[in-house]
Amino acid sequence: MSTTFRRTLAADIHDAYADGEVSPVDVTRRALDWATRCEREEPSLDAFVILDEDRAIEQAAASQERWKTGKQLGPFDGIPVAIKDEFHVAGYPTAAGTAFLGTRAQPFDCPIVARLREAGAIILGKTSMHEIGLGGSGVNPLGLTARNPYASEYMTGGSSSGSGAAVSAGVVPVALGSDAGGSIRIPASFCGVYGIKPTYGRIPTAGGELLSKTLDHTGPLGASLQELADFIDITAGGAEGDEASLLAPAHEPIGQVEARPFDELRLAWCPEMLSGAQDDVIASFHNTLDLLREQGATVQAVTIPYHDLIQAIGYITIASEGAASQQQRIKKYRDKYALPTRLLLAVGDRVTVSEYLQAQRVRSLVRRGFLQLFADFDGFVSPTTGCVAQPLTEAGLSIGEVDSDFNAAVSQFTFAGNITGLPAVSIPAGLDRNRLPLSFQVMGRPWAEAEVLEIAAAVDQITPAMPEPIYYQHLLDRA
Amino acid sequence: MSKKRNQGSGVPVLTGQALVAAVNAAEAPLLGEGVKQLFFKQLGLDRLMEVDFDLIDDAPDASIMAPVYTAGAGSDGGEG
Repeated sequence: MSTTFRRTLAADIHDAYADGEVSPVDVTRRALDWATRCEREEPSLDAFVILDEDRAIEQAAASQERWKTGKQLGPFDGIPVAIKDEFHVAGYPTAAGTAFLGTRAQPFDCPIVARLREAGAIILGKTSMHEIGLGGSGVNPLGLTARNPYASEYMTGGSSSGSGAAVSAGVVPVALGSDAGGSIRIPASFCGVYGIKPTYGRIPTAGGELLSKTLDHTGPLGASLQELADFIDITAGGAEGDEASLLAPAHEPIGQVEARPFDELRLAWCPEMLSGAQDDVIASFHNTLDLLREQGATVQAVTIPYHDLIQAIGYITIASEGAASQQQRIKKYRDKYALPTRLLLAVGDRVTVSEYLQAQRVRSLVRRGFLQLFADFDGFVSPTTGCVAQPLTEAGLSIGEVDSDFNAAVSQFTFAGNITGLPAVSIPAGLDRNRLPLSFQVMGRPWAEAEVLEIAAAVDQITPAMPEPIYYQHLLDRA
Repeated sequence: MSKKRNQGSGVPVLTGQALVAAVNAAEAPLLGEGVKQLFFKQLGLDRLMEVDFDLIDDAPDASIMAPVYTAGAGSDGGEG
């Protein structure tokens, strides 16, 4: 295994712009060329549903002019960015992974895309996703199923599957995802990159086809923790029509991410929550905890109240809120949904009001338990997922499949962040025995994205280095 | 066709005709409730419904609530 691989970061690209070594047009052309070649590979990476060379080059030329005149706008000026096809981008349709939405171009950018554009980011295209975001595999029998850049016969995880593949393959250093049960962190985990679900309300969710009002979060997948911080700094803040973001306290810019000293880390973990996870996932996690202790961190086992009900709360909430969000469409387009989606929506439609409210009451208790924990600890740590990427199957790709064991394992640790609304970041943690990416998750206090990233940066120093994916190309020659 | 991929509960992976049948049953007026019960039994819905709030001090309300926090919440357990 190569330990010298290092991804091309947005900061590397900026250094190259500053040195005059390459221009935003050069890098954008290279990103487009690599994205196109990935789509022509056998098998195709299938990360993008839309790539628009003309508009991307137009944006790059504008950025190039700013760089020439010393008027660059910030850390993403001239940086190619990919957008999950769940968010509105002016001039493109939004299909949300379905075969029936996306019949017309959207007239406006959603707030996140507008802010990225204002910051000089180059919107390279839109990425493939699990149908309506309702699933953690990324397998889409009626649309594109992105391939895992580390192992093309394996799933990327979802639902932000194309965003995970695009970052992992090096097409873009950062991509937009959304996360109602792990949909940023799962593909980040499976594809060996970084991903953060910020605090509920930190970044607006308005302007797209999101699924579950009280669970949905938006955030980035990136080549490093710094891309995640920069993305949050650019996109955080209230947006008209987005109530949660308007209630959020003002965002203090994170700026440069520095690793917190190990002897200042107070971390909690819950042994009971590991039950049922794959052996290599558990071994990797314990190895990281041991290394943290050796470095001087305080790492303590705790019990989370009602931890065994977290997934039930998450599934009941996402199934019922998802069914409500699709109420009219399922009447019109029933036969155009994939079968696994139809099954989940039919089940969600039958959740009673009292069952839903009981789930919300227990959800409050879990949330309270986590908040009390953060009186004594800076972070709560776990693996990101209970399993690694699973093989793609012909049946899954052609008709779809419902794998209850996989569904339980994939969101084993991620739903806690959604039902509590607390920030959670996933970082890569080496490979398992089959050379598939492993990961590590840090959750933190509300609005403490900066702190969560500092803790993650400390852990990132001791986790095993990731090798180069099979699908990968640097956006710079010197990298 | 159904098959088992992960080690775990022993619940088979649903696909092919078995998946079609499950979807048809879930969408049927009478059979659908049974599919829901089966589905959520695997996820612990029954245990979730057993939480008795009469036994919990300062039990939260039964209300729909997005997890919105006020500024400064967290270290003292406060929440918005």
